[in-house]
Amino acid sequence: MAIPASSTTERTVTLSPSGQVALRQNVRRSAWRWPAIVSPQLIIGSALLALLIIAAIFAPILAISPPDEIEPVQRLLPPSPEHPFGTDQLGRDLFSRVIYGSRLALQMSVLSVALSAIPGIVLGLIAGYYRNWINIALTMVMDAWLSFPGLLLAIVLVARMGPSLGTTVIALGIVGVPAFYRLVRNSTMSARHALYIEAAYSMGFSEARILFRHVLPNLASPIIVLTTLRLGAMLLAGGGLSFIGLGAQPPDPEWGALLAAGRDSMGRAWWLATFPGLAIALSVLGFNLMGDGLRDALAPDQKSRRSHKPKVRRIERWLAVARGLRAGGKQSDQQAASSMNQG
Amino acid sequence: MLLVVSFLTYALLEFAPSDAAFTLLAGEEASAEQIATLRHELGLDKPLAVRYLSFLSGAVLHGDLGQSIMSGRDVSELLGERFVNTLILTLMATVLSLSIGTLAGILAAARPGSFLEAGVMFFVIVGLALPTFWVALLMIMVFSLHLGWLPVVGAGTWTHMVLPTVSLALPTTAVVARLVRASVLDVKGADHVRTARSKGLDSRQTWQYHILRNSMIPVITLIGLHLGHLLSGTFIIETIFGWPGLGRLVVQAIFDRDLPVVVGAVILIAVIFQILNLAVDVAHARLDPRVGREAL
Repeated sequence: MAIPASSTTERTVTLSPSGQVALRQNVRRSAWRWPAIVSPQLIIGSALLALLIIAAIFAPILAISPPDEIEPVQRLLPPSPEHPFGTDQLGRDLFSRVIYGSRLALQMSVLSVALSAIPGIVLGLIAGYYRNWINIALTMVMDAWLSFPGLLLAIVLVARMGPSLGTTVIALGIVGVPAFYRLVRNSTMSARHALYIEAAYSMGFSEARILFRHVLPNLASPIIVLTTLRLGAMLLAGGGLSFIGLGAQPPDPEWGALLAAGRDSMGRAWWLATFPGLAIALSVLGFNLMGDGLRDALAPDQKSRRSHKPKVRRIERWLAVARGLRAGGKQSDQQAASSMNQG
Repeated sequence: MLLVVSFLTYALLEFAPSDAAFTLLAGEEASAEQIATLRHELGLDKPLAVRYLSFLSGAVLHGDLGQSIMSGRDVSELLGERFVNTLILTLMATVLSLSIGTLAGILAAARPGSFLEAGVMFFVIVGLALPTFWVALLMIMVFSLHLGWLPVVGAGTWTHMVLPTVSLALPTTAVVARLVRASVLDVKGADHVRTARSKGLDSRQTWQYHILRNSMIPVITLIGLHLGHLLSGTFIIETIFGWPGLGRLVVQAIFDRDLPVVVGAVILIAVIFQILNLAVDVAHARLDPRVGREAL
């Protein structure tokens, strides 16, 4: 079961000895928060991603020839200094195609994650903040959504709309909405009772302003982590869809499609079925490492856990202690309820 | 649960009888008249709600999911025979990933900071990043084409199952290993384990009764949920290896625009997924008495 996100306040309202110990631990934790930021994962991950982004931006410079240039004389050449990854059935340079493929890979993952993040975040904020029938209705819909294997849903959507890179993006985007919704809703529900929300409310700010200017920035770090991890997952899923022919279509140098094309002649040309896959694997590895590294860096007290603790400033924590003393045990019940919803 | 499935059924059926289905069937040069006749024959000219209701009553009362447009066979029959194959593959992959993943996770957690742990964690990171279809291709190249040990595609003997199972199991194994390690480490540090040790239980007993038992709870939850992912993973794996299962059937049906088959298969998978979710909840409640009291 996840630790309730605002456990600080909960622990301090109980005046038992253990509660006080927990409080001291929290204060100590915040002291070694920052040095832990740079980890090997983060370095390797960002290096791999930098490679991907450089390849995408400078594709015309890096590529040896245009990705669609056909040279029938140079069919199925093994890797050589001239063609580092060899050439394909039509004499196209595989290295250039893989380089150009990075553009498609980035487009696909970034667009589909944006498609799932934006509605997911907005709906999650609304549901988590109001906690009334909107919350119940939205959560029911999202649970139904989630109760369906993601890739299957994507395949069905692609089947409906016809296979192309665009439909892949839309399908993957739709599939990913509940992931963001759940994260944002749960975090919002626990941030809902934080003092800064109360303060903003008492200053007469509109609810929209509170949600987007006060709640949302405090959820930034879990959202960033999830986004990074989703980017990798989408790249993998999109490659898979293209591979079975339901994503990007052959002339496009999408990595999954390249692998599918290389499959037919892999007995003669091992490179065709190797390098595009390596590109996918390294990119996904980059996103995963980056995501894990960011998670540890942004929430070192909850290593390798998916739930996150919104940042609570120290002064707020002490104010919460004072408030908790007055409120007695009432608040802890509420916290326990919200933590149950999280689990 | 039924509500959810029925809702999804409806949503799916809404798109099912798309015009492409019969224009493709009748051919490019078919006259408008022919198409209209065909539409009538297939019942596609009725309004959506009517179609949905008749479909639903057929499916619920008689287990009748309609006929395949391409082969003219009963969808339920077709699904039945393909599903067995997929089930075999999925179960094999589950067993494989559970046994290896659990073992690796426990070993890694038992010796924190060892090379073994580093190795397992490396495997986890890499296993999660590798695309299954790429691994499948590489294995085909190495084991089938170069070494000639295993057949490339098809089904029949056990040798046909090795490569699909391994490639399907790889990501799940990594997930299981990571979760088991985290879970065991979590439980190892818990108070009740310290108590067990301090009352004089030996290491084996502590592990068997106090650590492993408790750390398996999240694993059960995860496996139930992951079976659904395995099922969708079979789409890709079955296509690569020519395994005559549900996934390949659906992919083929999508290309043929054989929509009754697609709808039937999707509903079948959705129902299985729901049952799995329920089974997970029940197993969870059985293993963890606290959950039982709160939730049931």
